[in-house]
Amino acid sequence: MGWWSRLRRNALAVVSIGVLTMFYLMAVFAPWISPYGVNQSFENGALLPPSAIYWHNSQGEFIGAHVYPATLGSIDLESGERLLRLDRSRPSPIRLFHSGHLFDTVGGGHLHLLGTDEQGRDEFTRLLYGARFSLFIGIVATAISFSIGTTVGAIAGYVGGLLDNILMRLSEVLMSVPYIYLLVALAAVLPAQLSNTDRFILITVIISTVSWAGLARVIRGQVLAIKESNFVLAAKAIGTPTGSIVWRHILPQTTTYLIITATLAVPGFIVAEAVLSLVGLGIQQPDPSWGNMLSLATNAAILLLHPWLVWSPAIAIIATVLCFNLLGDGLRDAFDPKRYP
Amino acid sequence: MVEDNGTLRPKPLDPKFGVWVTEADRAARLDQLATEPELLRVEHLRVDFPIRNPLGAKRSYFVAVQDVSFSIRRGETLGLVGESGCGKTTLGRTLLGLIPPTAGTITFDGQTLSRQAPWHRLRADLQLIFQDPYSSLNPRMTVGDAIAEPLRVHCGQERFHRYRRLDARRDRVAYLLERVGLPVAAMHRFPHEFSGGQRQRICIARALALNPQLVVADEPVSALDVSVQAQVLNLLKELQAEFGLTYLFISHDLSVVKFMGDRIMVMNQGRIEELDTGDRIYHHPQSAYTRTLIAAIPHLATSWNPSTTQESREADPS
Repeated sequence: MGWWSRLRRNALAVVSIGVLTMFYLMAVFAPWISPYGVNQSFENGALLPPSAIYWHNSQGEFIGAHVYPATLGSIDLESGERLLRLDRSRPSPIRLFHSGHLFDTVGGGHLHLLGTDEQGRDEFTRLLYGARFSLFIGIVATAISFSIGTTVGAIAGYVGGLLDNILMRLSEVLMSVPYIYLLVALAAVLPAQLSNTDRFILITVIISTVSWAGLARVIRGQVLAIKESNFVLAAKAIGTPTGSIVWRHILPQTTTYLIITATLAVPGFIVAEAVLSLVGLGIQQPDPSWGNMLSLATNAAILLLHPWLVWSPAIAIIATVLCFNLLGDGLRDAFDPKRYP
Repeated sequence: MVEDNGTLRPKPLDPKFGVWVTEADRAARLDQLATEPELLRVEHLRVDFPIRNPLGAKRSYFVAVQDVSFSIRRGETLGLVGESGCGKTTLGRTLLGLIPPTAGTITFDGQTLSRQAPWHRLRADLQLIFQDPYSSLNPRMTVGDAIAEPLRVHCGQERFHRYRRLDARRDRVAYLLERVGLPVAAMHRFPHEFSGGQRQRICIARALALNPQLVVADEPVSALDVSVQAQVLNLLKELQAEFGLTYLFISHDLSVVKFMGDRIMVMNQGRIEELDTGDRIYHHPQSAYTRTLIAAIPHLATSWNPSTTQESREADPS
């Protein structure tokens, strides 16, 4: 039985694959899904809670799913809460697949699935666009750090000797530097006027260049063992060039380990980006990322009075990290034939 | 053994392998081989392994092969027999340039094998078959890719230019698989789907892909059970006749070497004890070590088994 059919029997892994696929598709198709712009501010629309969807109008007639234009009233000085005022005279029906988007409303009302933030921007839209930074930083950083780690590990393990010593000491130096402080220090020296795309690339490069060391050590150890095996000697006897031996005979033996470790490493990078953005060193406003959306959580008033602004990025991060971890566990079980005799 | 028409049927050399060869056939083959040119000549070969102390300094040397000289003629099978750890495998790998010799010269087809030798070209003519068919195939490479690897690696040489094309390589793999008795469809499968004997056939097909001149077979059947051993040995013999191969056949089992080898070289503790034709080694062993080796062969007490001669019974400690 192949690893894929074993993986499919693991319900948690299948659900994880489904959830992650959905998240990535939502990030890719964000402009199509949401009818609002990522930086579109709604007049008098700051800090609105998630829109309530109504089915009956004020006269009690059924007119299908609709919302009402919402604004916030004055602040109650005792509780700090603000009154939500709905204009019941102007029902705005929700249309699916309307005006080139997955959903849209007709009329004055807007559908804010997750409410709006303090600048009147749609939180759901920002979550979708934020996923573009947060989800892809995980994939890109994993790709870069695994390329470096595998290359360094393979060279160190196969060549051995002085080069092995130099590379391994270098990786130990990298491992001994506290990871998060290094990131904060490096991010802090970035010039403030950098565009967010440049910032994204720089953060990705920084995160991935400090995180290859652990992988390189493991790969080196595996290469050391595999290069003594008979099929490598057989390849040498045939006259296979060294590069080809490493690429076609040694590294393929480590793919199982690499796939599992990569799956488990992606959430680490997502969290690293979130932490950097949370402390204000990652993706900068007005561009959204899950981390800088979460930075609102440092404001006690928002945490207490407008919790939807904190819950949505937090749940998105937790769900993504959890799904990657569950998928990684599922892959490890599926690739380990001893678990299924 | 008397056959129906009353003539005497020749004795089998070893009934285990089910092949009937007469003494006259053997003698004729040896005479014919004597006229062939030498393919490989080894003179005073010595291989040392340094023993390092914990600080990495070379403290002393372990001599794996010392002062070994022999030659193999084209088309010949030289059997190399000896106990575990006597240096057989080291000798075989040194001939292929996988272990650097400490001293001595190896001449292959008029070319001295040294560090400066054109090894990339030579590798196509020198091939190795391993003892363990389970570990000598890459578990993540299909059988077809494994057999095609030597073709792919050496297709830059002018004589193998035709294998630069994928379909030429595929045709060659299909032919080789068929020749070693495996279905052509096997090329799309992975090594773990095959039994030990089948895997050894795959390794043989791989070794023969480039029509090599010398094949070093390092205990090719000792990991297989006896019935499969016979099939693989017979296959090796057929292929030798068909492709004009020269074998250095390494084994710890004297009966296997006797079946395969035109001449037998007995090795003990890195030295050559004796080098002679199979029959003479078997029936008139000169060194004490060879006699011990012959006595150690388990045998059936049948009148036609050559190992149960009076001489070897006396030498048998049991």
